[in-house]
Amino acid sequence: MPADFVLTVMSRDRVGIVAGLTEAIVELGGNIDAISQTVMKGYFTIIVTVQFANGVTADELASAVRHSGASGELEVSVKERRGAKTAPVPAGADRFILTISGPDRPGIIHRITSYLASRGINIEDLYAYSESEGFILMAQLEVPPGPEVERLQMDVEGLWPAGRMQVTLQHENIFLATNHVDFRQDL
Amino acid sequence: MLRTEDIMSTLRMFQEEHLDVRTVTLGINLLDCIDPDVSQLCRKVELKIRRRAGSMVRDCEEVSARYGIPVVNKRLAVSPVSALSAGGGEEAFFRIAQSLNRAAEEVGVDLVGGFTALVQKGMTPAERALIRSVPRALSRTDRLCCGINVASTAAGINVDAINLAAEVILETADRTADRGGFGAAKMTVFANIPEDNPFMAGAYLGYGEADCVVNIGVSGPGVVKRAIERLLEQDEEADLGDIAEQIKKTSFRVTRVGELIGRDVAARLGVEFGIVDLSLAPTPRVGDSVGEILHAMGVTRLGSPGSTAAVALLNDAVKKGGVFASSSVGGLSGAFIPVSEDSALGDAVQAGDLTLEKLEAMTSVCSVGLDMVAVPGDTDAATIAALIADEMSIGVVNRKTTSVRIIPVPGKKAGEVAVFGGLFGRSAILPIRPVGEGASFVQRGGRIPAPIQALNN
Repeated sequence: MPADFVLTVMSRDRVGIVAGLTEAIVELGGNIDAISQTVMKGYFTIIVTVQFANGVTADELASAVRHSGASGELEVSVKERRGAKTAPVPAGADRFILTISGPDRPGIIHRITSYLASRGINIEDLYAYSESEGFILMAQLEVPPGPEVERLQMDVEGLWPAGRMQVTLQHENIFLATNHVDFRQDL
Repeated sequence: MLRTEDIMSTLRMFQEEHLDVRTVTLGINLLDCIDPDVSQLCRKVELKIRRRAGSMVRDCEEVSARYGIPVVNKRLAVSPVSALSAGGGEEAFFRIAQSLNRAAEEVGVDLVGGFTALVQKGMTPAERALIRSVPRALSRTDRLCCGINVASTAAGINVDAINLAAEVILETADRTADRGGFGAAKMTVFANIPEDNPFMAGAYLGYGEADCVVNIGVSGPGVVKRAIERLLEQDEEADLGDIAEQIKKTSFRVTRVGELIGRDVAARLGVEFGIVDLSLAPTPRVGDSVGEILHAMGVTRLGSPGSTAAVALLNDAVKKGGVFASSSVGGLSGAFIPVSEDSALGDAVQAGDLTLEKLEAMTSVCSVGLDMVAVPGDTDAATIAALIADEMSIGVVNRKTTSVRIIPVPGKKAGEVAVFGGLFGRSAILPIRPVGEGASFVQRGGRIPAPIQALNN
């Protein structure tokens, strides 16, 4: 029976983690749809969607991947994908890039993500880091049709005392158009 | 997938470099409004503009909000008005001018171009009547712009048309003497006028264009200036090749933004997208100046030796970046050097560094000509005509567009300051050497034949 899984793995980073876990998937007869992997401050994370046509179970997949690393090294989670293959985003949603920068202090990410959730805005990609110059967050958002961008930006700026955080909200196409040679506008 | 560096570099264009779209210009064909009854013709013109451009300003504002990019000017460019009335004479053209101005005001655009005659080889009675109606039309309207094409590489230079245009420029300035001769700032004389130029005063919708089309003028020179400054902050040893590369990359991004906005506006209006014009169009605002780009490149005194080479480098790099970014590049697509509209150029004129002759030399390597140049009010028509003839010959021989937008400022002399206000800025009045009594070269009239297209040395 065909099966479709989402696999996540987290561990301290080292050379060869992806090679090992993909070998386990290949040996089980799986076909990988998509991978997103990053290393942050020395820790490795990956999310993989994978299909099996031969009746492999979630437990079998998790076990095989776990054994591709040393004992207790890899934290593995497997979920079966069911129903829609994309997130439930309202029709007509536009993608925007939100950036927030300013002095680091606890609660910034919670405050912005809570606000976005309250407005029904899905976060598709999120990246944030803190360094000596301050804190910066970049998020790819799916904004439902309706609220004006300027208004949304003002609302986000209003989450902090005036002038503390610098907020920009730009349509994703701006970044694609200015950075991708093969960008073609799809209106 | 977007990378962090991509996001940050694009954001810099917004935060530090004030990226915008300089103009969205909607071209509207008015040839289907032709009617022997001038009243009917005017009614049809206003109706068609209302119908095709009624939502234009709102659409531009919505697109601007969607992308967070300001659209500085919204403009119209119509079919050459000289083609609309064959027998109505100057009065008919004046009434059409009023209709265009009224319609432009009603739909909320800043300017409307197309009060145009294409007379590079000869003039019909209608074209002559249109040109003669220009002083009255430009002095009694506030949004109308006029372009007269008097020369082309294919046809040569129509010196009769130049002589007429010179008289018209002087009369227009006289009729608007209370505004420093400002009426003349809305009239440009061209060689090789493009059919899809979105910039004023020479915008019009050419005969080869669609019924309605959106043309875009990209962001101003501030973005390029800041990109060069950033390069030199990071690498003070950067050479001119590095600077050209930096300009090219910036132009790529600026062009992409322009096309993005233009295609969205065109889709909302239900019309075709035309072109992106790569011209760097300055404003009097400090930081938004082609002259300041030259300063950033190392030309300390604008007008000194090296200025022409610097403009050539800039113009070429802008084009190379732009044509790689878009397959729909057109219009004028070069760096403008409008003296009164560019604070650094204005300062150079005031300091005596930048002369009319040097400006003329610089126009041989960049778009678009002697632009927004204030000269003494007592300059005679023969001298203005000769100046136009010189500039036209640069365009004709080099197979490029050149133009003259010259403002004889009534009652003022060289060295005094002319203030036009707003985007039109201010400038010291440039001295111009008169052709002198008895000089008859341009006054002989006729045509200077088309230049040879071979033996190109």
